[in-house]
Amino acid sequence: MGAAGRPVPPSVGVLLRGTPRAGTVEEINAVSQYLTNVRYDAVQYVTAARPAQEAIAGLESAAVERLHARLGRGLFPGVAALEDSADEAKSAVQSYAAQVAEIHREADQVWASAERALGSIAAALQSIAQICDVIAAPFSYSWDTPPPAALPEPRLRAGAGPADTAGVAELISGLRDGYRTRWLNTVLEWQLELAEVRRCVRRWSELQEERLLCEGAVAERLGRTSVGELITVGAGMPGGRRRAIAVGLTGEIGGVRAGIRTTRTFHPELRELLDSADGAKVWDAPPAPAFVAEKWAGLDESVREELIRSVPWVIGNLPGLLPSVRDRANRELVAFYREYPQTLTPEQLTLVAEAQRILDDEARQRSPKPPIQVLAFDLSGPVPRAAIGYGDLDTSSHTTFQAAGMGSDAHTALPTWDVAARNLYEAQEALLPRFEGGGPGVVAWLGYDTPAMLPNSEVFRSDSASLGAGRLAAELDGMAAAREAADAGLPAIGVVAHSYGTTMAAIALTKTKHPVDSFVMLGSAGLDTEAVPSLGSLNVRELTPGQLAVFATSAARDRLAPTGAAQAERGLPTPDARALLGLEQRVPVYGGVIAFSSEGDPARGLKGTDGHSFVGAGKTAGIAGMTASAGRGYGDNETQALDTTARATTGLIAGPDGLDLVVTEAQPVVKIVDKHTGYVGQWRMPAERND
Amino acid sequence: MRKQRYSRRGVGALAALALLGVTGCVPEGVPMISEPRRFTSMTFVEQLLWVESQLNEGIAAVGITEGWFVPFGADRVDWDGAPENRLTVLGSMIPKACGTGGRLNESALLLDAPDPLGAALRIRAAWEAEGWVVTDLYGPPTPEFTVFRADREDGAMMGFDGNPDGLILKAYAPCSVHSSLSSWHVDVEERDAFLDSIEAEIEP
Repeated sequence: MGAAGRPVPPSVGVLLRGTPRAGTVEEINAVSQYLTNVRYDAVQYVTAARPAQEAIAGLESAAVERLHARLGRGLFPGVAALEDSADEAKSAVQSYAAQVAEIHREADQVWASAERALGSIAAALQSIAQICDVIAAPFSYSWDTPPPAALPEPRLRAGAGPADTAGVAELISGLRDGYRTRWLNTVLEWQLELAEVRRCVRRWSELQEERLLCEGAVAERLGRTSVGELITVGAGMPGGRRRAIAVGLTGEIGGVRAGIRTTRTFHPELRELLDSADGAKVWDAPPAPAFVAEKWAGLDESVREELIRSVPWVIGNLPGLLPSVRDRANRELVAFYREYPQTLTPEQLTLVAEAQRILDDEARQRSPKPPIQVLAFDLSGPVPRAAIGYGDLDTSSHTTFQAAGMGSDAHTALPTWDVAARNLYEAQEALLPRFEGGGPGVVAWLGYDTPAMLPNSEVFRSDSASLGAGRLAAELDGMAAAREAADAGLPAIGVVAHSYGTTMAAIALTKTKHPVDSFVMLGSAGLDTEAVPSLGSLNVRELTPGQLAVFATSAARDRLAPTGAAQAERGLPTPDARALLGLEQRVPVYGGVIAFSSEGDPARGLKGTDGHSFVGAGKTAGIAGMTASAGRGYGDNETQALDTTARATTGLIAGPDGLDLVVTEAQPVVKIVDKHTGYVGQWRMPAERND
Repeated sequence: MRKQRYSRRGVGALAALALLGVTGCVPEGVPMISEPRRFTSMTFVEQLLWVESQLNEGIAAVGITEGWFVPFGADRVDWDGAPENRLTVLGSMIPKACGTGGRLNESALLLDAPDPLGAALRIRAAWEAEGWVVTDLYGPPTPEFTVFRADREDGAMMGFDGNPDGLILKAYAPCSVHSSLSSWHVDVEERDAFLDSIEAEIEP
């Protein structure tokens, strides 16, 4: 048969690597049954305990009071939470079982089809080899490269066949006629079967992907139940998960009430630092960061240690202290809350669990890269707030605060901003090593009560922005003051804001004492024109004389942000942002902003942003770009938006030249009054720059 | 009053969104770059070894084998094969999202490299000889500025950035749907055993 190419793989497993098949649906159903039993037990408990509670309702004694309290405040709510968790978990597991059953069914089909197709290819290969042998044609075909459809020219082996030319021609013609059709049919079948094998390989890979999606979804749903969050919080703690679940749900373990402590804000030594022994106001009305930094430097080491241990909430959230100091205090705080999960609301528990996950991830890295610093952690109000640092913020040469927008309270948004902060850190790190010293530092800043998602109308007002702006301004000045006081060198400080975060951050930059080195707005929901009448109000350094380091982009497919800005009558930083129904024409455009594209640059391997999200998810973007698809948010890796943001925040953009940057011209609005109806409207007018 | 006014705005925005949905005016034609559609089944450890070997091969192709390091913020860890440095670098890698899977990547740097253009041309030739598709990202290579990437059909990517300040060599493993990369929080046994084996090589 001659020298053959690659033979048909001995097994389908050589081609279909990995597997979407794992475990059995029966095993998953058994978990579902277990959850049914948990729920049943919970109902049984309440059924048994309620009559007992009612039976003693008429009695009066201290012991009965205590029993009532235990049942009413701890055990019954705990059982209700357990029931809810079991319900949610069961629903998630059943959904998972159905998806796995479907994946297994299709995986079996794909495997069988690939096996059959390979068998057909093997037969075709053999048939072609036989024909080649008969017509003395060379045979060197691999199983995955079918021969051309045309039969090779038949030949006769030396010494074989008739001696005369006419006889040879006749014999060859006979071979040609005899094998042409068989050859063609065999090749066509080979091609079809090869296409089927390729489809199977592709589908096999997709099924693995789908299996992962299912697993991710069920894990996420389980993790978000109360019990799931307590499992995360309890891991590695004394008493472990068992204690965390028991105490978190009921406030007791083994029938013994767990002790409760609350975070302290009072300490006599605070007087040295705050001019007050009570630090309860350090979040909402912090003292001047420079004052704090100076006072902290003057404290004895023992006093500092005492304060970190005794009043971690105060020290952890005090602008003007070095991030490493605040990190130590805030880690104490997280550990404290893990010890007393029964004191947490569901939102607080979610944030503690998420923060712990990030810290666990860091611990799993032998050498954390980037190291994590918990810069702020506050569970004092109804909406938990936090700021997580990536990199060594004590020494970083560039420190960038990333501020979130609408619907991004810390407990819901931290997973997204954890990804986004790591993305920016990595993008900056790839740019920074060209220079000596320092490294990047990124802060996922979720330090304010963000407006709720639409249709809630909070996002159209500036109230949340104003409240958040005060705190962000304190943090920005605090970073500068702490680094200055520690003689650690001032980092280049940048602010990257998204959506309503731009509204908030812009106001913050009207309040700071220390100018920031760059301000990047991504998918801006508009700036409050009263609080920020022009860019000149922002405390941002100049790149070149007269040109502030203020950057902005709005993806063409992101209609949500400009629509929100137009509805709220806030000014837009980019003229090409397009709202629904042309509503953007109702609001002004700021002049002097360096606008950049986020549409993608295929030549540089950079993707475009296709929706409003900071980190995209799902296979397709949402309608009107309300959400971005996976990998195509403003803060996703290898997007043009992230690339330009990284360059802007590391000082690699020296001016508006290059990278398709354009300086915006101010476009104010004029009021138009309808003489007949009295209706007052406003419309954007092109105008000169007014920065 | 104020509340009602803003509520109207909310309703207006929603109505506008609904209208857009009905009329289907979502703009098309955004430049697209194909996402990796192929996923491997490489494990965490296989990817660690792949990234390490690719960086080593790239360094060999550049022809300057001394002085490479991996940045850790303001610090640097030498990329010299010493067990303690391998442990630091390989132990720091965590998967990055890659579609629904994950992958590892790392960069090695060399400061003040002589003849960055020569280095660029050497590594480019090596990659092309191995079948990688090399693409210039900012125009043709120059002594002052050379940035290109090399892509493989399975989604693996290498990157090179060269200028008088230094060289940056990047390795991105192909996307993998193996659970040790996509759910690394729970599937860390193989990785930990691998890192333990490196740790055991470190002289006390």
